[in-house]
Amino acid sequence: MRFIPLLCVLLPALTACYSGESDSLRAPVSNEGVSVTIQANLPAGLLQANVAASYFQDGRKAALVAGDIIVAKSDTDSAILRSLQNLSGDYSTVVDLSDATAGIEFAVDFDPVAARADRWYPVDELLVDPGPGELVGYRTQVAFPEAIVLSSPLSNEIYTTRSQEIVLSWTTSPDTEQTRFTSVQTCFSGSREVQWGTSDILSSADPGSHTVSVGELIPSTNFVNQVTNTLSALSVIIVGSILETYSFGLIGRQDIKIETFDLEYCTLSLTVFREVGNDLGADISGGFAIGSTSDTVTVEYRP
Amino acid sequence: MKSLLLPWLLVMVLGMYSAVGHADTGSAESRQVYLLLSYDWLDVADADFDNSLSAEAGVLWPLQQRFYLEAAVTGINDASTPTQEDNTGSYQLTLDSVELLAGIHYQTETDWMDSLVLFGRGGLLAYRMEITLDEAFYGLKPSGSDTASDSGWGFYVGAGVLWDLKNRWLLRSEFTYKQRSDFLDDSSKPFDVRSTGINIGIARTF
Repeated sequence: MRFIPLLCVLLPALTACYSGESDSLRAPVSNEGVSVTIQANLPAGLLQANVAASYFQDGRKAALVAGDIIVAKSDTDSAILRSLQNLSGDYSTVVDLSDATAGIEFAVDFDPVAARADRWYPVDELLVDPGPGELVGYRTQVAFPEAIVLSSPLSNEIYTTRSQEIVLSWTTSPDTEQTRFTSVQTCFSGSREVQWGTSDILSSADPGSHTVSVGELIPSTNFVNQVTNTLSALSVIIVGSILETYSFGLIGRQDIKIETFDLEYCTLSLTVFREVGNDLGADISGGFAIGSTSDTVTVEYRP
Repeated sequence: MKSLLLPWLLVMVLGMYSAVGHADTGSAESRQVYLLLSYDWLDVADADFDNSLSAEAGVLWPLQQRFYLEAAVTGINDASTPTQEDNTGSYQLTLDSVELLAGIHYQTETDWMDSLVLFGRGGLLAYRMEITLDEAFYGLKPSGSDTASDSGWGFYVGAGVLWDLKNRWLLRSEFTYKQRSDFLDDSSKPFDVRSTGINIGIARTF
C-alpha cells in the first residue's frame, strides 16, 4: 500500500515556528523543581474527557516507571494515563464523567499492580517492586469552562477554492480566559494521504467568531509543516485523539512539499477550544494545567 | 485436588522403582523402559515462549495384551519469553517444570511391516512448575527478579511408532500433547501451559 504517513504534529519536545497571539495560559516549564503540562478537554455533547499530562523534574521530562502512574479521576471514573511510546513522558487517556463541574483530578500515584494490569501474567504473584519515585504524591485539580458549541460552519460543507473563507462562530462565555483554534488537515490523492495540524490562539479572549481562508490551512506551495509551538502541542494532540488520528508518542515530525502532492480533496477538522487555567497544585513550580471545552466540525476542500 | 498430589507422586515413584527393579531382573518379557528427547512448542496464554528441549524417561508395565500401564518423568526446561517492554519497564519470564506422567499405553503391530509397532498413550500429568520474572526499568530504578511456583494437574496424549532394532532395543518416535491446568490458581490470572512436542528416543524390553 502506497500510504505515506506524513504527519506533522509536534512532539512536545520539539519547537517550531508559531503564528498567532501569545499564549497567556501556558507558562513555561521551570528549570528547577517539579513542573507539569496538563490539559483536560471535554468535547461538545460528550460525557468523556480527553486528558493528557507530562511531568518534569528540573526542566527535563520525566518517564514514570515501575509502578509510578498518572491517574485522572472524575466524579464517576478513574483511569491511568498511558503512553504509546515508552519513556516519552507524554501520557494520555479518556475519562468518563457525569458532572463536568466536578472537573478532573490528576495525581501521580504508586500502584505497581495497576501499572502492570495489561500484562498477561499474574502480577500479584510476580512483581519486582523498587518502590515509589519522587513524583508520587503530586496532584492537580482541573476545572472545565462552560461548554462551547459551533453554530457555523455546517458539517461536511464543501469549499472549492483556496480563497474561500470559513467562518466559525459560537456563543461567547464570560469565563473564557483564552480561545484556541486548531485544525487537522487530511489530503488525499488516490491511495496517497497526507496529514498535518495547525493551532493558533485567537486575538481576544472570546471573540465569538473566527474567519480563516482555505488557503491559510492548505497552502498551494512550499512545505506544510507543523505551526504549533511546544505549548500548543497538547491541544493538537487532544484534537487528534478526538479524531482518533493522532496519539501521544506515535507522531513524527516531517515536512511535506505540498506542490508535489496532486491533491484530489481534503478534509479539514476544525476545532475551537474554550480554555481556562487552573492552579498547578502544591509544590509544583512551573508549567500549566488547562481545562477546556471544544467543538469540532469537519468540512471538505474539493478544488 | 492438590492434596492428592503427594500420595500420587509416592505411588508413581514406587511403581517406577518396582517396574525398573523387575526390568533389571528381566523377568517380564514385555516390560519396557524408555528414554526420549523432547522438543516442545509451548502455548501459554498471550505469551510467546520459546521452544523447550527436554527429556522424558519412563517405564511400561504390561496389563493385558497390548495394554500397558505407563509412568514417566519429564518437564519443561528453561523456556523463556522474549524481553517485552511497556510504560512500566521491560520484562522476561522463564518457565521450568518437573512432571510425572501416569496413564495407559496401547501398542499394535502393523500388517505391512513386521518390525513396526504403532502406539497411542494418554493419562494424567502432575506438575511442579516454577516461573521466574526478570524485570528492569530502563535504568531509572533498580532491576530485579521474582519467582513463583505451584503444583497442579493436567493430562497428556501421544501417538507414535516403535521400530524394532532387534536384541530387545526399539527406536521410538511420537507426537505428544500436554496440558498443565491452572498454574498459579490462587492468583489473579491463573493460566494453562500447553505444549505440543516431538519425541525421539530408544526403548528396551525386558
